[in-house]
Amino acid sequence: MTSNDAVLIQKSKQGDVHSFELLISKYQVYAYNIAWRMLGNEEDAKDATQETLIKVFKGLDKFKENSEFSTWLYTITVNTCRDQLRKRKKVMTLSVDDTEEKVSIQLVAEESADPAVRLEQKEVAGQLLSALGKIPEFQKTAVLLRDVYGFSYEEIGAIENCSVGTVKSRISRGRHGLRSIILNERSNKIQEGGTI
Amino acid sequence: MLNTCSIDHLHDYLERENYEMEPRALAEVEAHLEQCSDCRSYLEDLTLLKGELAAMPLKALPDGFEEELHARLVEEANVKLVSKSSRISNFTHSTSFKVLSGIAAVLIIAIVVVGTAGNPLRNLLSKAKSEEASIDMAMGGAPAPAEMPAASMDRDGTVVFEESMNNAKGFGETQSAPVEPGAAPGSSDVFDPSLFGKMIIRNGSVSLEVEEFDTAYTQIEEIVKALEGYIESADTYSTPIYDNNGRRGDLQGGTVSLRIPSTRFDAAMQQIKTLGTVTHSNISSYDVTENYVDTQSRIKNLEARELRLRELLQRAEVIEDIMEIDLQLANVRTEIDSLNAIIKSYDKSLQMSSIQVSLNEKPLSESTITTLDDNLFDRMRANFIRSINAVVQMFQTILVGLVAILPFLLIFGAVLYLVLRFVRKFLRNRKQSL
Ligand SMILES: [Zn+2]
Repeated sequence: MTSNDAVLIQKSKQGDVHSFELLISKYQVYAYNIAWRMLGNEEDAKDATQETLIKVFKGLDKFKENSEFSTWLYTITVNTCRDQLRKRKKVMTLSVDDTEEKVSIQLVAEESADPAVRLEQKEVAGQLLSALGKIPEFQKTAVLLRDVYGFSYEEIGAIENCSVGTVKSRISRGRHGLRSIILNERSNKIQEGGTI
Repeated sequence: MLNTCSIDHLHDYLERENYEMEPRALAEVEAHLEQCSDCRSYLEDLTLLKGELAAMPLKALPDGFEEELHARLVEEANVKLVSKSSRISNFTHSTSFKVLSGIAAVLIIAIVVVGTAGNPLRNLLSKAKSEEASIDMAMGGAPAPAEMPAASMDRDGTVVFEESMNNAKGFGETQSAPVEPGAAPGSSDVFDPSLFGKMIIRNGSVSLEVEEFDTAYTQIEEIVKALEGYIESADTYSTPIYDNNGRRGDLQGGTVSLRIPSTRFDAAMQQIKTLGTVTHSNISSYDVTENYVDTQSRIKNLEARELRLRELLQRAEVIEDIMEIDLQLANVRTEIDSLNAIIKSYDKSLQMSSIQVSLNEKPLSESTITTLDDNLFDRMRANFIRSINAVVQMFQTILVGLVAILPFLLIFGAVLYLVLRFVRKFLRNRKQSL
């Protein structure tokens, strides 16, 4: 943690809003983006980020000075989003069955049959977002943090409260799943095209 | 393909620039990639995927995000002071009757929802009010300390400046600012900070908990007036609070920026601290002597240079020379002007220390909350809660009682039944025998 952060944290603990705003200025965009990718829409992302930052402000006393402030902030971000997703799921299971989820898991499990089939940049760029929405949540978060926002394995481990080994396996399974989904999407399209 | 190949190693290989691989593992992967085209294409896919992921753009914060957060943080900062434990503690005692506590829980939720639904709106309103009220006078200052526009505050925390802003124009300049006691009054441009040895800019901040915001504000005004300073800006807000009965009041708070002649800085700090309980205070001093002297000597050098250039200009005959000298003269002039501006701002800060005072009302004790419209609703709510408590308790008592006498009821009932049957039988027998 930078010494500058330490000073700002000290002041924020005393209720200095301005110092707190300075403190989070570097991190809030990332927090918002993580929330956006995890929750999938701007409105929820905004609410979750606000909630996160308020929680951080209220909970500063609980923050341990020897740990990294940014990591702590992102941990709260991820957990807040996860709470949101859990609530959403509850509402979902009341109304709809989770067929969509089953389908996506199936897709991930399926090995892409033909090894000669390769990804094409155009389709990756176009389908990355929807593919991200189809891999399991923990893998998705790990891939987001590592490949989209450039966090280190150690940081992700601290955020997710798990070992580096777990982080690495989530990332590789996540990437693997993304590739399979995008490839599957293509073969589906080809099949549809064939029947017409 | 992938059944015999190790995918994990390929992911390690993908990250090899960030996380060094063990030489042996690296060599193995590379050797495998040499001969396995499947793994090569898989790796290429991963590389492409990782590249596209990294290229996903960061989304900017939505409009108004920081403003909204700011408002909520300010609220939190104030709520932090108020104990939150006071909400409807009566309901939480444990009861063995799940149904009843269920009913109670639903009612609590209903009450809390009803109770809090009004707050965001009210906060919003009071926030809007206080924003209206925060008149930033930093641009102006006061015409002369004695003619400070008198500010008064009404109950809502609205600052009413009685003098129009037009009158306050054009002050705060070095010339009109109060001068050191030694200098002749009225001829304030005599002021030369370098005459005072070390040049130290001193600023301070004090956070106070006060009984009543309005009173404290008036006292600050008096202190400022007596010390020939002025109020630069004032920003007020109010925060709703709850006490043990669920009643609501408003806590007023605000930040006042003062300018006080630097010679009276200590006096001002001392006097302000007497207005309430000091929760935080801070004095910062910056020694600007070196910068000040340095800036001054640069100005002197530049002025000398300007003079030489003018002489050159008079002697110059070739048009190119004249143009070149003109250009240089303009540059020198610009630099002198900007350095003079720096000196001017030093002068201002050296003469007038700034003090930030934040005032927060102490959480009120029950008896002091008297605003009528708030209380009507809150009293109704408190009474409602009390009645529900009573009803819940009554049901509890009845149920407890019922369960307690149940065995007796059963025995009594059985006996009664037997007696009645016997009596009926007896009567029937008698009828038949008649
Ligand atoms: Zn292979």
